[in-house]
Amino acid sequence: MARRVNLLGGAVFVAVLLVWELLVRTGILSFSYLPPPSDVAGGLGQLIGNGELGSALGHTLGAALAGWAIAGVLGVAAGSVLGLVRPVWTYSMASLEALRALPIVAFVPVAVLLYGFSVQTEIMVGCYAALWPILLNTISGMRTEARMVESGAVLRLSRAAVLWKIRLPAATPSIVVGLRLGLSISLVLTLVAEMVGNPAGLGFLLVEKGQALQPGQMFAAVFVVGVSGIVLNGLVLGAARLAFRGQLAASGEVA
Amino acid sequence: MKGTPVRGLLPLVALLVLWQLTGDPASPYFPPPSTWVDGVAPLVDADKLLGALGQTSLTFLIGLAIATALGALIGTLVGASRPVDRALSPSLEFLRALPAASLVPVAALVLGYTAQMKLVVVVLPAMWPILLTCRSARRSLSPVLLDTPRTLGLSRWDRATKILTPALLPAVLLGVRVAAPLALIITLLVEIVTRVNGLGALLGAAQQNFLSAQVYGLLTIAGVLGFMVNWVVTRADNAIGRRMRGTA
Repeated sequence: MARRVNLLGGAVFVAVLLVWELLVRTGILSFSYLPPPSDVAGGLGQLIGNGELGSALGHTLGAALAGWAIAGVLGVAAGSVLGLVRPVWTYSMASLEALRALPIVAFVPVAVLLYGFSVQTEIMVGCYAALWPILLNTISGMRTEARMVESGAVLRLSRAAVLWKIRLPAATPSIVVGLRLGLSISLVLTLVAEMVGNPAGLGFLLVEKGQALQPGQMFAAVFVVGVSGIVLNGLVLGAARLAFRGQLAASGEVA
Repeated sequence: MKGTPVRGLLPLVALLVLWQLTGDPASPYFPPPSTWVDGVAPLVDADKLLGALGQTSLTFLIGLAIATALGALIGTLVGASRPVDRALSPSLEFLRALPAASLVPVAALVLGYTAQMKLVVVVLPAMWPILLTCRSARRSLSPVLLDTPRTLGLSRWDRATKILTPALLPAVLLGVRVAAPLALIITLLVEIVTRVNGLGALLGAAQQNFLSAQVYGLLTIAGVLGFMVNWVVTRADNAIGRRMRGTA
């Protein structure tokens, strides 16, 4: 994927913003609380200026990353066991699938009930949400092609060596996909937990600015949420490419 | 789903039985399963539960339908032309990166606490999977498939209904399969956050009043709803997929 600068696309993006600005300023689009982009930029300036944005962003990212990290350790460990040990899979997978059918957001009230209005609520919710994609992708990644394992046997590798040199590298691309999905879901659910539970971070900032009728600052917060999602995803992808270049290239993830 | 042995349900059943046997019915955190029914009973008596289920299902179904139509339409149009694709993709990418959760307070402020607001919040994120699969399917359609009917002199309408629609249908279905559980989650999310009607609103209210048995009861109902959605979508997908392969 050669990266060319998409001038046309950028121009359209700017044009959309300009049209939005014009429509609101001329009163053609008349919602009482729809700010023009210039107000959003102003709101962003105010949020950065009084330091609200920095602390909220730090809080949310910290909670989302903590939940994600715990989910990563648990998910890869449990997923490996489930993927490698057939009886464990047979006697627990259906339970996991039944649990997975429960909509994740419906757990937010339960977490608030159990942990109250604390940062633990956020971390638990983020962790639970991120656990699923990581777990399921690890399980499917560990189902290595039989031929690869057989070649390990031919080479007289020990069981540990087969695990370390064949199964784990083969599972890496799939685990990385799970980790990426997990991080974005963890961020979203952390925001939800902040909206209905713990009054802190970006999620609460959004609700607070909405209730204070500060649409400019609220849209600015939404913008920041979007950008931080893109940046986090990019960071995970970049880190994975650096660390597992060979494995990802072998699976065609990196062209 | 496919080939998952039912034996695997044992740990879950064991856990629930253990919970039931050792749980303290007065526990504010972990009330045993038998109390969940009593927890939900007042809602049934007050005729609230059925109404809430209806509102949640309606928002979900209409939202998914609009998302499918919009996603398929925009996806097809964007995928049909390289320049349009290039022109719109940065804007689309940015919109896609906005988490559904952050849209909720915005929509509530701009549109008010209404049923329309709920629909808008559901449609926007549920549209993406359908739009993206449709875009890439339209992009990779063979030119021969598109040129042949033109040579045969089919009208624009006939080309759209007889060639384009069947060719893109599998992609739309794939998108819907991803979008349906997402739409249900977002419906519940809007309801929990804004407390406008539906199952999510009940759940939020129960949590606020510390009715823990009711919270677990409603969670179970939400789970059944989620399970049904998955089941229907998988079934429909398989049935239509088999028919398409049969006629191909």
